[in-house]
Amino acid sequence: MTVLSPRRPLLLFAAAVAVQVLLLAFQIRRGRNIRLIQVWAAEVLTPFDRAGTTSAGWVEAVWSNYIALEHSRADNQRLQSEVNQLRLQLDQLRGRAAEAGRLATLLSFRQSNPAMPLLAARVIGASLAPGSKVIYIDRGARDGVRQDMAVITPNGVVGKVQEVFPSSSEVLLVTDRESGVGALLAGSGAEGVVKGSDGSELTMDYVENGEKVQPGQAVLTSGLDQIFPKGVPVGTVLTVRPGSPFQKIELRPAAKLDRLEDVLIIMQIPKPPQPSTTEDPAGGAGR
Amino acid sequence: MALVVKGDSYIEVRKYYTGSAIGAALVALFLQGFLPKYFPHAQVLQLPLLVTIYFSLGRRNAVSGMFLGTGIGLVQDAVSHLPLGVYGIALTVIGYVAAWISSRINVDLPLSRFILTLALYGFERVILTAIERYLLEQPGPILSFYWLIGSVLAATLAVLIFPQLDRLRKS
Repeated sequence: MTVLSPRRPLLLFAAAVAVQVLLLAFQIRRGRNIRLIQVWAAEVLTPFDRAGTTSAGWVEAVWSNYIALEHSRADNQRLQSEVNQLRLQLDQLRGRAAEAGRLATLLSFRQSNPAMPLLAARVIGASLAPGSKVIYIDRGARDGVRQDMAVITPNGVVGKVQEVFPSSSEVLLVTDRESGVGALLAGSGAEGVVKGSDGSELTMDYVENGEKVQPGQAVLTSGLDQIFPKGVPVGTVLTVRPGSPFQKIELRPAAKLDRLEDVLIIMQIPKPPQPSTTEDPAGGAGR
Repeated sequence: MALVVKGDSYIEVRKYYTGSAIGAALVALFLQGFLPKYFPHAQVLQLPLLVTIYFSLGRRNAVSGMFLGTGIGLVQDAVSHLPLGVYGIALTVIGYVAAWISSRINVDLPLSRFILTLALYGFERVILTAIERYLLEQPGPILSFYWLIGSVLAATLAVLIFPQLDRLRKS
């Protein structure tokens, strides 16, 4: 007498069928001569591969986006600080480069005028009084600066020293209403006096109506005021109107007076100008 | 004859002479390959199937019926130049199911033998068609009139030869 286990035959049956199905799959070939069992293996394994790849990508994303960024905040702050410092250094270097450019221009101007004793000065301030057109420079009596010395830039006339202190000086800009510079028109040589105005422009007086003056014409110092040497640019003619008895000429200053940083002080007029054969209306110009 | 415990009851298990199942199977396989040469439609009789059904029903042992079906089926595949497993799977299932059925109903009556053979023949066709469709990618009809006639002929033949095979039983 034999006792049958109720589950054993079913398991054996399933195994026998499964083995034969696999045997069939091993023999059957599908497209490109691939065995069916290979197709099945790929079908079975692909979801696991995909799941594994997805899981790996997820783990990698978690790692790279969260765990690996644990110190990113500190790094970000450190890098931001470095950026700020580098920006500050860049601004400083830009300022120094601009300063070097200005100083090079001053040096070049000085070398091109060897007979003219010049003293470089830095603008350290401006008058706070409204309407006052005065600046302060870092050169004073100790540096040999005296009252009424001419102050220029390579571009043109700035003004003249009005007050002298031990280590600084006050400069009255050429655009001040109280200022005056002996000048002449380039080309025609017509002389006059350049004065300041209420605005930022200059006016040139004492030019007769008969003189031919055109906008864009350059105006230079005449040297007759004994303050500015002859030939320094004062400005450029903007407008010309007939007046009585002289023309009304408006000039744009040659020097960039709104952005002065470095100037040159003419310590001594190199050579007195030649006396004019005509009466000099600007001879007493300058305060 | 022996009694086997099946749940809370005893069932009758028949014993056959040693080698009788193998001998009958070899004869059936031979005739299945030989007869169609002269009578092409003889292949419809599915003699290996009938042998599998007979010994599975008689032994009433699922494991024995299953392995008998597997062996006969694989040999039939080999001689039919089919991929191993086509008839192997079909006759494995038939052997198992026949043994399972035999433990529940009386399979000695001619009518029950006819009906069981008819049903199992159709079941084999379903299995074979499924294998052809889904594994071999050779779509065909599940049951055709040809195979329907074949099943009736096979069932009739079973009614005729099963009593002859009963002589292989140990008394």
